[in-house]
Amino acid sequence: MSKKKNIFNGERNERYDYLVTKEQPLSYTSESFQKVIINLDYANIDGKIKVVQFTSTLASEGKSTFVSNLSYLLGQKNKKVILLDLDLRKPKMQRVFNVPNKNGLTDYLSGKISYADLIQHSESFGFDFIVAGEKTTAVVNVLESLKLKELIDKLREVYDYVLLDTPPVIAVSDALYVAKNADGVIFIVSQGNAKKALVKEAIETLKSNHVHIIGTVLTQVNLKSGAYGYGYDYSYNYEE
Amino acid sequence: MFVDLHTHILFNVDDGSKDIEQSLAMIEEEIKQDVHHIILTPHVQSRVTKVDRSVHVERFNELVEAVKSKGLKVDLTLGAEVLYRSHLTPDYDTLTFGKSKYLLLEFSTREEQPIEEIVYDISRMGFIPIVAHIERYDYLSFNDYIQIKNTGALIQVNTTSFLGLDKQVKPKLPLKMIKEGLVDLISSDTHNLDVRKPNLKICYDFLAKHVSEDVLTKIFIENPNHILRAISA
Repeated sequence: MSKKKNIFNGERNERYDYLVTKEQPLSYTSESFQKVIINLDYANIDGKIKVVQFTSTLASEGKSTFVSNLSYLLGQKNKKVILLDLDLRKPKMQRVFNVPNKNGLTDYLSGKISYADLIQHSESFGFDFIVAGEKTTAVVNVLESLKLKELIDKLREVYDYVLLDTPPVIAVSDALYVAKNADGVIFIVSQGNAKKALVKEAIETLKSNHVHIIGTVLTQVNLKSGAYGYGYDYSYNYEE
Repeated sequence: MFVDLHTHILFNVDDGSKDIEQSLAMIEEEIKQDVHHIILTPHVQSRVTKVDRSVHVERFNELVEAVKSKGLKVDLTLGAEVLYRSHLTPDYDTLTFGKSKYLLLEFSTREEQPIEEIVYDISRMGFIPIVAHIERYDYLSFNDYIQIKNTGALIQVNTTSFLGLDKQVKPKLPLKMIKEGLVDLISSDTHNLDVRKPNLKICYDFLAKHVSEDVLTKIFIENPNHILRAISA
């Protein structure tokens, strides 16, 4: 909470519970999301990718915004989607759904609540979600636990897509632990936020841990700097 | 006519009033300060907490009887000042102002707490958190005050901080906060009859020299009345 801007400590003033794809379905931004889904479909022709993890280089690159919009659009396409907040250090998903961070993942893994209490449903967005739950200092133990793996395996049976929001790669190693349970990672890069060298380092870290990067997404694109006019855009590129 | 929303007038429950006589004397002092409604907010989960919630209710009923028989013209409501502890989940419903959803919360002044996050969770659980003497948490920046307010908390500042009686608080900070429109409520946080006595009117008169009447009416009259309506609803 210091005044000094810190690359590990992003701050945000906009609302989380405003999903642009829901509120402005015909906008350029929503169109860009649709393209992401089409690209994801092509990357997933054999249907082998079910558990998709989202990470970035640093904080505040738009992970929660991106993943919640994507979940919404997948839900609109009659896919059964569940979104898990695995950013146990700075959970944000509760803000998207405007609920307290109660009855979450850590509460379930520590045996305080049942599976039925864990899964919440958003009427307004039309998909299921799991919030992070009570703060713990044993983050790595939680993410490495067999019980988490079993939970994700169970969700894999029930849902078409299990989407995992995780912390940025450079700050902590959490994303690497989560990647063991995921079929692939979508890497989010916010334009003009992280330095190129840091982005490279983050991607190298993932690759050296044999993480399958499905693709990268460029967020918070300022179209003023390009040739297409004004706007706020998401674009998508294949990594390999 | 004022409302004092943060007081330690309930006797022998914390570091506030010692006995029922002192409580009655403090209430008489409140009346002299133009206060017609007092919320009693004993410390909960704090190191100065002496008794359980059930004792608060007993002492409160005793005090209400004593106030009646003395013929003092004042309304009393039982609330609490809850020190947030991350490992404890109290039944907040029993700690709000009367049967309303208003909940006075204090935080550690030494150890930095994620106040905005806590306020978020508690407000989404259906309560209206009031952050007690926010000017005392010197780890908060001005921007943090704004974030906390935007998240849904009411901001309470102590009279003693405006009057320069609280050595922990930077002298110009509270006035700056009120001029920026960040202050929702001002209360005495009275503990006794000497150094931390009821002084709401003294503070009002002091602020009248620095702040417009509209702002003072909002903080001293409208906002508290809003809470009183929720209490009596």
